[in-house]
Amino acid sequence: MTAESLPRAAVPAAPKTPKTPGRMREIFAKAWRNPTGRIGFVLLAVLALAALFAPLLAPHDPTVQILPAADTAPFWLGGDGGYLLGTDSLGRDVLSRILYGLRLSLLIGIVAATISAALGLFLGIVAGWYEKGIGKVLMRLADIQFAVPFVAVGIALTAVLGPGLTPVLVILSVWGWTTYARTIANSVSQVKRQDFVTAARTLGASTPRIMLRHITPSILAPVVVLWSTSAGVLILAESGLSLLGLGVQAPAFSLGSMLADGQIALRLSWWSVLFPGAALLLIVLAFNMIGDALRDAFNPSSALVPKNPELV
Amino acid sequence: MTVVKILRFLMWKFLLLVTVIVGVTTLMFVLTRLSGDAAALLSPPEASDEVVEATRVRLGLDQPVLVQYFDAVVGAFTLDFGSSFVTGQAAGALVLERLAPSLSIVVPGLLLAALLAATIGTYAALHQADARGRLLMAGAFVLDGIPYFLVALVLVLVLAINLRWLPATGGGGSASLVIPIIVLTIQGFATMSRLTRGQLIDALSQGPVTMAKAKGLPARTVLFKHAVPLAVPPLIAYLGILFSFLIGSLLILEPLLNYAGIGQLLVRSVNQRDFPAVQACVFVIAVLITVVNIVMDVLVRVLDPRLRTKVA
Repeated sequence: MTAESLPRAAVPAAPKTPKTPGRMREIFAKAWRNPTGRIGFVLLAVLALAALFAPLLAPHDPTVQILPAADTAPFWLGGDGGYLLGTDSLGRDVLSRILYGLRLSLLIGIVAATISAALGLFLGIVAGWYEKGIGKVLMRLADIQFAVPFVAVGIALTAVLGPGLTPVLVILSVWGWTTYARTIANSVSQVKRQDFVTAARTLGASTPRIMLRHITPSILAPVVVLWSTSAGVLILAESGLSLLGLGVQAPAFSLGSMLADGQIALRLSWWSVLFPGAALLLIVLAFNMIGDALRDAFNPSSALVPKNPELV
Repeated sequence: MTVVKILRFLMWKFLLLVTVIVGVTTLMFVLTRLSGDAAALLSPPEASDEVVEATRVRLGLDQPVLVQYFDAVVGAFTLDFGSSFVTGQAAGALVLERLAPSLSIVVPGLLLAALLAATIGTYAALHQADARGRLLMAGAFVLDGIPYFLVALVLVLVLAINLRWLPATGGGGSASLVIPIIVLTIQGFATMSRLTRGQLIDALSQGPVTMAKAKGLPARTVLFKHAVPLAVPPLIAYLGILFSFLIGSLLILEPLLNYAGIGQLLVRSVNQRDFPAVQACVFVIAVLITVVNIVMDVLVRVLDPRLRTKVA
């Protein structure tokens, strides 16, 4: 694409920056009309409501241990005590724990996805605007990061910051920027050559202002698409780290730490692993469905872009 | 491609490799040195200050940080990572020992995933509209959302605990390869069959392929001679990305299954502050990922008819 960056002699009116809010609503409406998207939105809403109203829905206190009732099977498998999804090896109700565990899992995914989106958006705009200088450096950094397993960095960071949610949130929020940055840098290097940017420049707008007011709105759509798929991936990543004993520490728990607790007792109570695992699957499916539908709505031919190459 | 172009290309890729090596060495150096006093951690808990100090000197941790850093970088390029703090073995040898078990699950997993994906993706692309094709893709979509560590736990539960066909953990000879290989295959093939389908559908609607169809060539010829060559290169590029996914997931999978590979070693070394082993592991992983992706990049350039004509 050759840059036709010189303003023409007589421009009647400055080309307008494309309005995103309208386009965004249009994309969401289109995704909602897509059955996949609709199922995804509904599923996510149900899960979010279940997490929100966990205190009302949970039949038991999720942290109370009733040791005599440890490893009780679900009642429909002949277990006593009427536990719908059984109890874990400390006698805690699995259903109640899933409802509460959803809270942290969703929260971690959404917070980490949002931070990495913001970071990726910023660095992507910078990389696309200064293609030759900082852009090159950032892309090399992304190459380096690609060659390092994020789990190793996560463990090292936990050793530095101490066990808990903080190191996991930091690594998940920081590691995701590259996917955004690559995509956005590409769009920005195209967008910045368009007439409305030249027009803004001619009217005396500063670089930060152009970036914020003119570039950002026109590239927000792919960010939203990526955000949706990355939220699911990040929730999985947190669960994976939990299996290594990183992340949320007891008494707090997420779906991932339930898996970690349960896998030790896999032999005795498979339900304390498989049901939280199923909840995890539902979350990821919901985010993936929404992501797919948004991507289709945004650009039908980009359905081939693999999602989130950075996090496993 | 002219010779000069090939040389320039290889030089850039070599520079990338050097950057990656320096980058990952630096990253892990900074993180591990920040993670507390290795000398204290590696000395007995009741050790006196003198003993800790002696350990520090023995491990070379009394040197100025810059000297240690310089040694780490030089060590990476001379393949001399020092001796493991824990076993006293040469760290490089220790890692190479663990590399074979890891590759013997990743490589079969990758190949099986590619094979399955090619079959399923092609079938689904040719049967886009009918129920079977769509069902296959719906299945791939759901599989795509299942966390691989959950697959591992389910397989352990079913194949090892309930049916007793396979050992639940590593160390059981070639039988212990089965579960990790299945896990990695499942992890890889779902996304890839969706990609394969998309690429092929795309290729089937492109100019040269439509032309071949219009000429009245048999469907088989159109598919294999015209559509496949267009669809394959991006899939090969994805294979490189998938390889890095699979290597990354070893860090969670191997400890989970107690499989003695490089992932387990890296996780353990970071936890034990075994700096030389950490550096050696990360070096091997980073070089492996980078080189595999460079090879895939070269393959894409050689195979892609579009790039070939452009460069020549």
